[in-house]
Amino acid sequence: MENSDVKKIFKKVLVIDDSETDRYVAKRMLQKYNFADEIVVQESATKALIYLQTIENTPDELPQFIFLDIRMPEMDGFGFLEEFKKLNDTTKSKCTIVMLSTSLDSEDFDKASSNPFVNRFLNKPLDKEKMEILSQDFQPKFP
Amino acid sequence: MINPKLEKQCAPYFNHPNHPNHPTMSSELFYTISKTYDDFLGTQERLEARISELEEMLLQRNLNHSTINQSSEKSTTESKYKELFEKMADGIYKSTVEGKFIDVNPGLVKMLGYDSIEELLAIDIKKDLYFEESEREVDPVEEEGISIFRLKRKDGSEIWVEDRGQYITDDSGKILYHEGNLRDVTSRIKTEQHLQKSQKETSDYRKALDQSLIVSITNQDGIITYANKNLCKISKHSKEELIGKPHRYINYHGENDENILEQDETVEKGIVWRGEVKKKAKDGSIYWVDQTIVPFINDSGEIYQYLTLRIDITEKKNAELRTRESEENFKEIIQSSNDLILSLNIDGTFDFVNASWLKTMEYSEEEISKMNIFDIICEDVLSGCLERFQRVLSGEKVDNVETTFITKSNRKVILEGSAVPKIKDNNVIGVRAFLRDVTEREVAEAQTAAVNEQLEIKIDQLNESQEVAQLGTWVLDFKTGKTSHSKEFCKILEREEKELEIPINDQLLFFHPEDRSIVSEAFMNVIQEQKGYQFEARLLMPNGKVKNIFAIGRCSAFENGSPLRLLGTIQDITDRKIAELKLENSISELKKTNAELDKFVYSVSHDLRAPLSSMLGVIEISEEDTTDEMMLTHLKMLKNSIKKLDGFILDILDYSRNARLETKKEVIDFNEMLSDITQNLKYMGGINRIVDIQVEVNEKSKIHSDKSRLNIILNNLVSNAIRYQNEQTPNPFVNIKIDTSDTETGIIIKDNGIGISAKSQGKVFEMFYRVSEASVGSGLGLYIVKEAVEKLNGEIKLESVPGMGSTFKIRIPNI
Repeated sequence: MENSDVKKIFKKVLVIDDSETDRYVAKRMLQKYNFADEIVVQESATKALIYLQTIENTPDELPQFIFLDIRMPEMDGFGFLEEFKKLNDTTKSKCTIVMLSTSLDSEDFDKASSNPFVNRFLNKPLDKEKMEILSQDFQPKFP
Repeated sequence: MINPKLEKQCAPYFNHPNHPNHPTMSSELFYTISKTYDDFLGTQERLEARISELEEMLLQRNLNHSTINQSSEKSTTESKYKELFEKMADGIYKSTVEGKFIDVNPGLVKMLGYDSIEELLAIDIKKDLYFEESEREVDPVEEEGISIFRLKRKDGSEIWVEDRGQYITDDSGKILYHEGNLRDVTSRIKTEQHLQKSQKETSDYRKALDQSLIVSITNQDGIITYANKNLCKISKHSKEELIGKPHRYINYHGENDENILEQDETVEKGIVWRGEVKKKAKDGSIYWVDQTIVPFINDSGEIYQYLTLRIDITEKKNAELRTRESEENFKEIIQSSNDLILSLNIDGTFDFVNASWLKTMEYSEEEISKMNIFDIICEDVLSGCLERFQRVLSGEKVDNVETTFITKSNRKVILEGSAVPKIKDNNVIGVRAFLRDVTEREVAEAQTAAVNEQLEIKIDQLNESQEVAQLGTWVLDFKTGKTSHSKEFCKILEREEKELEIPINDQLLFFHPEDRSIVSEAFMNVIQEQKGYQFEARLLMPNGKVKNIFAIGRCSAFENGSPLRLLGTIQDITDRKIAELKLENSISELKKTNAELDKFVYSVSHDLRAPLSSMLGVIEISEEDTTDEMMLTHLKMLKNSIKKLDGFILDILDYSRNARLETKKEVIDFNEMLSDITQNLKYMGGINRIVDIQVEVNEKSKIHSDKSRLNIILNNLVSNAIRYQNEQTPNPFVNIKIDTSDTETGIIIKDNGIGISAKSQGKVFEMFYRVSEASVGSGLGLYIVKEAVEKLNGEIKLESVPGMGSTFKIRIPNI
C-alpha cells in the first residue's frame, strides 16, 4: 500500500535485521507511514557496514535513519555501533540510529542509551503507535 | 692465835644471813687482816703498859741506886746493905778485870741458874757466861753506863741483862775491881724484838692493805678520821676533803639507802657488816665496792672506831649487770618468741618450755611438769620421733624435724624446727628444740596443692581448648621485653618454646616476608596507641610451609596509665583460609554461572519473544491491509494470544530474575519510576479503556533500594489495576501513594476495579493462581510481586471488595 505521491519524511532509511520477517514488517510499516523515499534493508551488520563504507564519501547516498536490531549473528548491534564509530564524521552526523529489539535486558537498554550514536531504543514490532511517534519526533537533518 | 674477842665479833659476819660465806673475800684473808690489826693494836696496848711498867721500875732503881750511893758515902749500916744485897732480885756483883767474880749475891746466882755462890765464884766469866767470847769484847758501853747484853746461863739458856756497872779505881786510877748489878731484861728484850718484828709486819700489812684495799677509819660518831690513797683515788676526793666528814659523804644516795641503814644498825651493835654498796664519786661517777665495816670495841665494850675495808668491784658489778641484763634479754626473747622453744630431760620430761609452747599446746606450766613429751606426740609419728630423740641424745643436731602434736583440747598441731643436744660437762643431759607452728602453713599448702591441682586441670582444659580452637596465646612483658607462649602457640609455630624466647623484633622473622610490614605496623600502633591490634598474616614454618593466622592483641594491666603487658592470641586459620578461598572460588563461579544464566534467560526470552514480535508485526501489517471484518477479528484473536504468551514470557523472566539475583542498592526516584511505568502502561489498552493513573509521592527521606524489584512490584500492580478495571464504573482509576520515612517505604495502590472475592483473596499471591477464566494473566504476576516484596524483607496486604475495587498495601523497610 505504497503511496509514492506523498512527501516522505526521510530520503533514505536503512534497516539492519537478521530476521527476514522483521525486515519485511519494518519495510512495509515504513512505506505505509511514508517514512522514506528509499528503504534499504541489510540482513547483517557486516553487510550494512560494507554498504555504508561504499557510500561513505557520497553523503547524498547515505541513509538519514538507521533501524538497528541488537541480536544478530556474527556481529550484533553493538558491534555495528563500534564499527560505525570509525566511519567519517559526515556519516556519523547524518545518520540517526534507532535500536529496535525484543530484548528486555536492562543491560542492553543501558548500553544503547549511553551510546552517543543511538537516538532511541524501541521494542519490536514497529506498530502504528511507534510509527506515529517516530513521524512526529523526527525530521530529516538535510531536507 | 686469833683474838677471841675478834673471833666473837666476826662470828655474826660469817653467819650473817645476807652474806653466807661470800666468795669474794676468803675467810683466810679476813683472818689475816683481822689478826694483823689485832696484833698491831694489842701490841701497842701492851707496849704502852710495859713502858709505863719499865718507867716505874727505872724510877725505883734509880731510887735504889741513889740509896746505895748514899749509904757508901754516908756509911750506912753494913747489915742494912747486907740485907738489901742478900734479898735483891737483881744480881749484884764484884768482879776482877780478868773475869772472876769476887762477890755475888744470891739473886745473881738464881738469875744465872747456878746452885750456889761458891759455884758462881768459881766460873770463868769470859768463858762460861758468854756464848761467844767475842760478845764480851764487843760489849757496847751504853749511855749512862747502862749496857744490855746477853749471857749464857748454867743450863745454856739465854738471858738478857741490863748492866749498870762501874769500875772501882784507886786514887792512882788503877782499876781495883768492877762492880754493878744485872737485871734480867730478857722478857723486855724479847718483847722489844717481837714488837720490832710486829711493827715491821704491821707496816708491811698496812702497806699491802693500803695498796690493795680501800680503807677508811671512822670514829664512833661516824666521822672519817683516816682515808687511804685508794679511797681518795676511787672517790676522787682528796684526803683533806674526806677527813672530818661523815662516812655517808661518800655514799651513793638513792638506790641503796636501805642497805646503808641496815649497815649502820648492824655496825652500831658492834657486829661486822659486809655487803656490796654502790657509791658516787666526786665527779658523779658510780662505783661499786665490796665493803666490810669492822667496829672496834674497847675493854669497856664501847665502840670507839670503825675500820672500813673496801674492794673495788665496779667492773665485776658492771659485768654482772651486763650478764644479768643479757640473761634477762635472752629470757625475754625466748619467752616472747613466737617460736616454740623447749628443753627436755633425757627421759622426755620437760625441763623448760616457753610461753609460745604453752599457748600453742594449751597446757599450763604445772601440767607440763608432770608430763612427758611423748605423751603429746601424735601416735602416727611417734616412732620417728623416738628415733630422732635418740639421735639427738647421741649428740647429733637434727634439723627439719616435723612432728604432729596433740594439744590439750585434742587439736593436732604440726611443729617444725630443729633439735639439738643439751650438753653439760661433755655429757648429753637433754634435748633442746626450737620449733615453729606450721599447721596453718601445712593446711595452706594442702589448700594450695588443691588449688594448684584445680589450676592444672584448668590449664589442661585451657591447653586443650586452645588446641581444639587452634588458638595460641602469648604475653609480652613491656618491662622485660620478654614473651611467654602457650603450648598451642608453640604448636602453631611448630617451634619449641625456647626457640620463641627471642627478642620481639626477631620474632618478626616468623612471618612471611610480604606480611612483615603488616605485623610491624600493628605493633608500632600498639606501642603508640597502647590499645590493641588485629590482623591476618602468614607465618613461615621451619619446614618452609606457610600457615595463615589471625592475630588479636590487647594491652593490659595498666599502671599509671601505661600497660605492663600485651596479651595476644593467634589462631591458625589456614583451614578456614583454604575454605574461604574455595568459597570465594565457588561464589565467583556461581556468580559467573548466575551471570551466564541471566544472559541465557535473556537470550531465551529474546529468542522466544523475537518470533512473537515478528508475528505481531505481520499481524499489524495484515490489519492495515484488510477491511474484511472476519479477517480483522481473527487477527485480533491471534494478536491477543501472542500478547498473552509474551506477557507470560515476561513474567517468567521477572520471576527468574527475582529469585536468582541479589538485591541491589541504589537511589530510588519514585516519581521517575512511576512516570516510566505509567508511560509504558498508558496504551496497554486493547479492549481496556484508558485508566486515570493518580500518583502521589511523599519522599520524606531518600530511599536506597532495589530498583528492578520495586519496578516489578509497581508494574505488576498498576497493570493489574488497568487490566481488571470495572467496566461498570464510568471513570476507572488507579491511585498510587508512596510515603518514605527514615525506616520504611509504604506503598498503597488502590483501584476501583472489579475487586477480588474474599475466597480468592488468600490465594491471589499463589503461583499460577488465576481468579477466573476471564483472567488474561499468566497467574504469576501477584506471586512475583509477593516474592519481590519478601526479597526486600517487606510485607504486602490486600483489601478488596468485589465490584468496588482492591487496595494493596506494601511496607518495605529501608535497606
